[in-house]
Amino acid sequence: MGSVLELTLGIMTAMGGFVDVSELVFAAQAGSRFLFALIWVFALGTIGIMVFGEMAGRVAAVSKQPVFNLMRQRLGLQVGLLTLVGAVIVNGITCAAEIGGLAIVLQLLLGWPYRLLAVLVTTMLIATIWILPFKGIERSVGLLGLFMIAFLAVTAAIDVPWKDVALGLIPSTPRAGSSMDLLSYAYFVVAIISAVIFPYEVYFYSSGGIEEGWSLKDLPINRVTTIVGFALGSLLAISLLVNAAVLFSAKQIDPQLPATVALQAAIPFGKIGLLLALTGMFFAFAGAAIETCLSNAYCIAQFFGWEWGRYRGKAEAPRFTVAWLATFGIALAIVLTGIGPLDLVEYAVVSSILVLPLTYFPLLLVASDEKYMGRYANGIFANVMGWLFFAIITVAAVAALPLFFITAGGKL
Amino acid sequence: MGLKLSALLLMVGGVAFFGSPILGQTPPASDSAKTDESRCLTRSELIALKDSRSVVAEAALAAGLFADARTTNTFAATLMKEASEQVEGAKASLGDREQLTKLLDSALGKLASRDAEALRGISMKLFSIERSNGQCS
Repeated sequence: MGSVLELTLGIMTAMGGFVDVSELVFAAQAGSRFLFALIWVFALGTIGIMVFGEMAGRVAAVSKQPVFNLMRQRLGLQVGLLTLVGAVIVNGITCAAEIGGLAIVLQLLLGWPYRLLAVLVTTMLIATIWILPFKGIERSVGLLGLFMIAFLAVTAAIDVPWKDVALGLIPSTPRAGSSMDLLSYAYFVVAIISAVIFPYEVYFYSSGGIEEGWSLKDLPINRVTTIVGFALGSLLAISLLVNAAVLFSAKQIDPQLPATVALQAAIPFGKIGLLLALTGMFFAFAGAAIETCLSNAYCIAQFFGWEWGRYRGKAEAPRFTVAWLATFGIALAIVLTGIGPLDLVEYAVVSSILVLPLTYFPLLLVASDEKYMGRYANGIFANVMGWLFFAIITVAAVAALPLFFITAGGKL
Repeated sequence: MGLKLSALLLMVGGVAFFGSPILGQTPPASDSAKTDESRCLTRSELIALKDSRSVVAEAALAAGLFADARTTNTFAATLMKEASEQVEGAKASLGDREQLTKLLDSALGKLASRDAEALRGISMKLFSIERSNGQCS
């Protein structure tokens, strides 16, 4: 019974913690702009994060080593340091985008000044990590993020052309359009893959496995959580896209204001729907802010061989504590400069895709190494999927910057 | 469909490996010799136009929902304020485009009064200008 409860909570946490500000923005813009034509990218990206998430959890449970330790061992000091710098920048920008998103959600609820709310939100996030144990943090924000189900309820309530939605699962390009439209479409493909397979997710997931003392007996839970939890989380993201295609596209809306996404719930359900959607967005962003911030501290501490982990207590791992506090401080400073969360999301997604290959290459090497992993090394299926997705993210990484500049971040 | 996808991949590949050949083919838009309103929009003007068209449409939706008591006053007020700031920004980028800046001035007034119908109309006009500029590329 205990393990069933554990499994259910794990799945729900993975589902509630799946969507962050970048997925929210890109899903809504993708639906408004290209209707259902980008659903397959969410499905593809979700399979990718399932493959790498399962691998990272398995390696953590078998070797008791998190991803960044392995990265330094396998990539060597110089490339490892390059990856660390990239990961820290991406995590910092993403954390700032989440804090900005949180401040906007609170502003929509309370009407208070944006910068004041950014400071209050950061204080609240620091207090959460300071007070709660790791599992408490993970479970509370993950489960409260389930308020995002409000968006699935919207999909159920509105008139959706389900045949077109199903066709969206087949890779295709938009029917009519200029070459610039096609390039923007390609930019969205790259950005969505990046947003779904954000590297911080595996840093956090594998370090979380160590925090929770995973062992071989946790391998089935790891597998079911990554597959079922991420699949359900992906449904939330796809529902945002479908809602935007149905409710926004014909009105010439390509959401430029984060508030507009919440309006999806106000259309069928009024103020109650709006409140539930904003609550879901708040906890989804809060979860991602905590994950990105802790991921930064994990990466830095693991790379330099410091004591790390919330399970150790603050006095036992002082440099780790300073690292996550500093990440919040820098992220808040970025928000206070006035750069909007949507701009930060763009920068985070584009820079993230550049770090992805360097993150997943060493993970693949280790997970498929039979000397290291013994009988828990990748089988043929995991290896084929792993290298296939590695090829996809490498192509995406090469194309990301040119597409970003040519299409002005998908705006043209 | 398959051909289109291959063409897209080739284009992306071209951009990725050989700089940006596509950039060279696109917008005569930017430096056309035409004058004022008939002149093709530059890249930054087109971005400003697209952003403002969407923001005005978003505000129209919010204003309509507020009128139907489907959002709170705080939510609508915050969204209108944010929309006004973005429209002001777009206006600055469209400095010498008289027709567009007039439309955006009008949008600013309608944002203040939360006039959903008028905002929707302005958004449609902006969209039609955006479409007609498509002939420039």
